[in-house]
Amino acid sequence: MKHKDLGRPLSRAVTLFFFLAFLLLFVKDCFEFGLIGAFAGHWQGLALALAVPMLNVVTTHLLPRLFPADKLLLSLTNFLCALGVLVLYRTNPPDAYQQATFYFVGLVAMVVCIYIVRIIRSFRFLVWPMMLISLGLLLLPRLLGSETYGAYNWFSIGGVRFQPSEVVKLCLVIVIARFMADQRFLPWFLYALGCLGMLMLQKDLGTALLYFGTALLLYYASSGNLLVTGLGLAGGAGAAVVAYNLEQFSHVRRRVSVWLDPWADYENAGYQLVQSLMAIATGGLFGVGLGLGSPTTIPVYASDFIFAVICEQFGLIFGLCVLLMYVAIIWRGATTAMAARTRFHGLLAMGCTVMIGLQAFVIIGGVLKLIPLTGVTMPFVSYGGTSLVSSLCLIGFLQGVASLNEDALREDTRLANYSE
Amino acid sequence: MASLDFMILSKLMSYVFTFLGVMIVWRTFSWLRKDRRLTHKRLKALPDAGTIGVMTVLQGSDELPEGTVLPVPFEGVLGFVRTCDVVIPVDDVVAQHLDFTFRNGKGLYIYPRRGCPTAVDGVTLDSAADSRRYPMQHGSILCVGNAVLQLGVFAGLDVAQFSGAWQPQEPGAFGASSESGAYYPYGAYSAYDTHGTEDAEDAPLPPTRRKRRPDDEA
Repeated sequence: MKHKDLGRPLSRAVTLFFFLAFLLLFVKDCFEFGLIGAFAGHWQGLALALAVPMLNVVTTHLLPRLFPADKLLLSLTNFLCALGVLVLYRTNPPDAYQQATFYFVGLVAMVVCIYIVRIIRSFRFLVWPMMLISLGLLLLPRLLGSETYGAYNWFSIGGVRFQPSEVVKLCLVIVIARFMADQRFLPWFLYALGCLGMLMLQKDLGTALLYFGTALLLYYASSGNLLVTGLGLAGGAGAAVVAYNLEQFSHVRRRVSVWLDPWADYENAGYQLVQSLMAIATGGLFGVGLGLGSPTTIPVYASDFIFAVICEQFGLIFGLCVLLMYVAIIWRGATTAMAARTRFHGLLAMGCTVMIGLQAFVIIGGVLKLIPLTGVTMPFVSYGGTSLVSSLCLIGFLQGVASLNEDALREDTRLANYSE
Repeated sequence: MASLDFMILSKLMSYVFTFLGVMIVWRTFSWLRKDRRLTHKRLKALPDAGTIGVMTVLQGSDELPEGTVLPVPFEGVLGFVRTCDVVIPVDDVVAQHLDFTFRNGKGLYIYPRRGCPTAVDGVTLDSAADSRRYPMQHGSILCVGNAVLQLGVFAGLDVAQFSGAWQPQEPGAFGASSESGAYYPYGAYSAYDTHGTEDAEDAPLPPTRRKRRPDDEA
């Protein structure tokens, strides 16, 4: 009952936000093409103004009645996913339609993941096949893919581009959580090392950083051993320095030099970052206004630099709100992990939280010039089907653990009443 | 180039969007805060939350004296080191000695690690098949290294059957070596294998979960 009372005002605000935002973009079309022209050629804006808030209401209020789910997590992920669709509709409508489709697919995948966690309790019999399959998947882009922005992390099947590292991160979290729960060090360590090696072969250091950070933080959460965690951190830093000096990773050196001084070569290497910083500065506190400004001048605006577009359109205060939403997801995830009744479920929830949090920090930090750019996507918001679906799967795992916690608490109450 | 009217409208709406963004964040954090309080309140009333029962030490060591009661979670690792879910600082217990998992209606399944001798009610568990065949029931005796522990499952949790009395036995009452009075952990309990015997009929009631009352001490 308490949840219902607390959830309604949040849901109302989210619904109103998206209704007004899509309606505003439709009004823009009306100004540009006239009312009849807008209805004839740009009716999708109006359709989205109705469909996105409706999807938000359905997923936040009706889905939890059909299956156990954490409504707050649902509301936050819905907001971020819909924000991605909105920004993409502002910049390039066909991308938005595609993203909306993946959003729907991701929601279905999320529900499946909730039930996977609820039904398959231990994952013991699944971890070894998962390890083999995921290592094989990571090898595929190097064999079949082509170089994109210096890395071989994509390959195509029948015209559909696919990034295996996004799928493997789900396996990574499950495998590490399982072995750490059983306090078996060697299998997960070798597996994580294998994954990192494959990512080095792909030259995808951004994802490697995510995997490494997740494994290290999960190890600390599992053991509380600060010394070994520190040694791991030092080892990772050493490996990064070695990789930086290798000829094969010249694109990393370029990114670091751009990070240190983007204005030194602002017409070539530093163009992306300079445009991003200028967009954020142009937005100011309240943004230039939705539908105004020129966000498409930022290269890779749809995926890597979508946070800069958000800041330009809605302003820094809103950008800060988006950051705080990630903080809320991390808080909720950590609370769920701490309340888990089994070590495995606790580590699984923590792994999902760390993965999402780290990814958000790495990309937003890169866009704000706090750390070098890494080329990972902003969870839930950035354009990209594999990324969106895998992020929603991580949320599905988290939701699964949260629902198990709720079941366990109800069972505890029943047992306590039994003793009366 | 957008028309001036739209520019004014969009600029005005940007303040509305900022307000809604702040509102959403504020609502989110107030939800988080209130939910945390609610969960804390619920857990405070359930001090045994997350455990299936207790293990009473029948034979231990200086660090783990007889009669010590250890809470048992639903799943975990039993071993010597402090990161284990059930810590047994007794000779011949290795760092991670065994894994255990509770299944409602079945009992507590014990999976010893390789080279870690373990016995449940006198039956030495040599394989995963043994582990599945002999889950611990309420009153079962677990022998790990030189430690002997008796499981008490909370009332209300379903186990296949009660295997024995809950009250910890007097030292030497069963399976004790004649000379030293210490428990003989492996094999000697075969006579005490009470899986499904009539002893269960006379067994005292299992322990019950505590429920915090208003007059309880903080």
